[in-house]
Amino acid sequence: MSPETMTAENSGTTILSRILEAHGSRFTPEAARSMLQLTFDQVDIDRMNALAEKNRHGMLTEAEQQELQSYLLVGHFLDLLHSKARLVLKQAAS
Amino acid sequence: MAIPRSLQQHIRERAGRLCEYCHLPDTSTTLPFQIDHISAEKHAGLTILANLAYCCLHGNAIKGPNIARVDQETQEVVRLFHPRNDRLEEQRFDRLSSLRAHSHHERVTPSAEALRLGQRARPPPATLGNCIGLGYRGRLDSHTLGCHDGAALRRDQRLCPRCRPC
Repeated sequence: MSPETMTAENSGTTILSRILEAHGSRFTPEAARSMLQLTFDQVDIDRMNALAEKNRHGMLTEAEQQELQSYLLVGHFLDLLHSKARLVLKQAAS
Repeated sequence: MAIPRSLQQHIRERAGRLCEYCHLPDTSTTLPFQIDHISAEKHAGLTILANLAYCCLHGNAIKGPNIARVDQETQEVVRLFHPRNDRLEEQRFDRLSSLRAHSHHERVTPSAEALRLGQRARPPPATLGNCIGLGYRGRLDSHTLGCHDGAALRRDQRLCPRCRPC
C-alpha cells in the first residue's frame, strides 16, 4: 500500500493490524502467555454493560457514545493481541 | 426491564454462545456480550424469549434501539436483520465483500451488514476446519480487524471471512 492511498482508511485499528501482522510472529511464547492475561477489569465490564443498556434504550449522550466507541477500540486491540498470542502458542506447540 | 439470570443463561445457550447477528463466538472477544431486545422496549418489544437475542457489543453499539435504518447507497429504509425470522445467507460474506467495496463512507461490519440484510436465507453450512490465521488485508474496520483464530471455516475456505481479502 502506498503512503498516498493509506490516509482515508488509516484508522487506529488498521495501523495496529499492520504492525501486528508485520511483527506479531516475533513474540516469544512467554510474551504471548503474558498478553493473554491482559483483559478488562470488572469495573470496565460493568461500565460497558451499563453503556450497552443505555444504548438499547437509545439514551446514550454523545460523550457516552464516544466512551462506548473507545471501549470497542480497546477491545479490538486486546482481541487482536490475543489472537496473535494464541497463534504464537499454537505454532510453538507444533 | 431486568432480564432474569436464568433467562439470560437460556438465551446464551440457545445461541450456542455466538452473536445472533454476526456469529462472533463470545469466547473470542474480551468485550462483554449482551442480551438484546430485537424489537426494543421503546418500540413495545417484550422481554420474552422470542424477542431476545444474544448479541456482541459491536452489534449492540450499531443496532441500539433501532429496528430499521437508511441504506447509505440507496437511501431506502431497510428493515434490520431479525434473528428469529431471518436466517443468515450461506453466501453472506461474499455479498458483504461486494457491499464493502462500495461502502466508502460507512463503517461496514459483519454486524452492521447482518443487521441491515433483512432477508430470508439458508442456515450456515457445516464447518470444515479452522482458519489458518490472521490474513485480512482488505479494508479493515473495527469489527473485521484480524482473525479470532480458530474461526470455523465454510466449504473449502482456508481463511475465515474476517481474514479473507476484499
